[in-house]
Amino acid sequence: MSLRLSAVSHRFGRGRVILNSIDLRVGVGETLAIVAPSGSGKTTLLTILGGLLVPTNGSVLLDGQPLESRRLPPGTLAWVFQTISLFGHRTASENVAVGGLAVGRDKGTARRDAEDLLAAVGLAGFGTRRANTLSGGEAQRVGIARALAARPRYLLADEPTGHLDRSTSEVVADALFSSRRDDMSIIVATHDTLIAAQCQRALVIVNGELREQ
Amino acid sequence: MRGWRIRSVVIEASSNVAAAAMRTLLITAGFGMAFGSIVWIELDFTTDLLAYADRFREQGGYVGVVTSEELPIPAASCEALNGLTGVVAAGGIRQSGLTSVESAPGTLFQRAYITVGIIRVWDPSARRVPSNGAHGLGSAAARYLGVRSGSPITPSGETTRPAYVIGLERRNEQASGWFFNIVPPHGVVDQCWVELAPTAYAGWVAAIPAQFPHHQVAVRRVAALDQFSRDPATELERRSHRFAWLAVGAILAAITSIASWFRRSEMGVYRAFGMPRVGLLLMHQVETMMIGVASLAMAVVWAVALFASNYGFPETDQIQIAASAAAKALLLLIIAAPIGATLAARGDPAMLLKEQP
Repeated sequence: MSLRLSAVSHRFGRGRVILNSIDLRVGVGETLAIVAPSGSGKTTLLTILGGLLVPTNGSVLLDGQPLESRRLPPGTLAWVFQTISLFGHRTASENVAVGGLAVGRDKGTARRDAEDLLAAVGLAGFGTRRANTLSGGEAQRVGIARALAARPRYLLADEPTGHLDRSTSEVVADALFSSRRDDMSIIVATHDTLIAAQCQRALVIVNGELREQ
Repeated sequence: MRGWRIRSVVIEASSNVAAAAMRTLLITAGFGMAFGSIVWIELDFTTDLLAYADRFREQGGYVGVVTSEELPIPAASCEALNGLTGVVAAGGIRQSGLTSVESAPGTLFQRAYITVGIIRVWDPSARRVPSNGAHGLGSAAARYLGVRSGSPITPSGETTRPAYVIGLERRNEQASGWFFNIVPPHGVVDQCWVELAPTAYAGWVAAIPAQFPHHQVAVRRVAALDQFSRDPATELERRSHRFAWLAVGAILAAITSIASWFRRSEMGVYRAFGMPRVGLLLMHQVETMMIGVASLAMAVVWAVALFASNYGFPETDQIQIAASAAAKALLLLIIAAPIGATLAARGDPAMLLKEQP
């Protein structure tokens, strides 16, 4: 049971090689940070891991099967995005419920779960607030709750604290790791050492290659 | 675990519509104005048509023939009647000896020169009017020669041209076996035929003879509906704006598709959370349907109310015709808009997510 990259390389068009022959295995329950400065390819690596981008070379294997060759089973992956990708005109609870609906829950269950998850990320009582009235940190925690609502085996977070101040980043990082289930892996692309420090393993991208930090 | 249920997709669509109240209101108003325009145009058109038909049923119509035993009538004056209020159609005829055609040597046909307008007087059911220079045949002559409209025909000593068959049984049966040269309104004619609208006769009695002071004017009344040049069913079927729904539906679908470009990041979130493309399509469809049906209902009610306040309450048939035209536009919109919107959201979800919802 793992998510693997095997000899993955990627370049955009005829541009430079962003990722160069990367091998990576993420086991069950593991927390992994991919650390690198902006523009070094960590978001590209994450989107390849999540099956949103097909690499130029190499393969992504989920439980030994090529990821790109089949649709992902619901509950496999969920995302926390770099930009706060909430539906601004809808409530926090409705935003979180999208994660539940995505894995086949009915509306009522998804809404109840949403309230619990909002409480788990420190936003109890925020359920009826419109997303566009939330602060950056609150919105990002709603994004984390939404990802958790999909009960994923792998949670992929792309710079979850990228645009937040230090104290807010701590709150978001705490929400991300404290609400983790034991069987859920977290892969986070970040340049924030605070986030990296909370992961079991941290890797760094140097010239397109992945190295242990 | 299962993925998105159809019901969940529908719930998402309705939540999106309900939550973005301002956006929904603006779109509903825009759609409503477009649908309302169709409804208004149809009500206006059918009201005019029904009023004309009613007047014809009550009063009948008239066909007048201006003749002269000695002084020929200028053809241009005759054709000029077409521009007058109350004149449905007018045109002239000048007889001109006998002729034969190459396919029936030995058979002589009465030949006459006619202007285009007279064909509309003689043959109210004519679907199209031929151009000048065409050869015309009365329906009896056409039957005798085995010729249909469009068949080439060669009068002796003349150029081969497509034949145009004129139905003359109802208004000028004696000319049904004639051969006609359809010519521009130059020179003179022997007779000028004119069909008048049902209410035009009183005015015509004074106006037309004034234009032909040296000619005799005879008028006969034609009350039978089969002689009614403006056949309501045919006019409804051939009305120039009959495809307005197509244009309106296509324009609204295009605008909706363009507008959905600004929701690409929303689509990216759904895609990243496992919603298949067909789910996105369904979601757009439900959203468009909800807003569209509300707009249509609003448009019909407002347009009918406004129309009633100005011109009186329309007939049920009129409302049906108007509403069904607007409903066709909505149907096209429901089918086309989600396709365009889904195309706008195609591509890598990671790229879609780069835009802030």
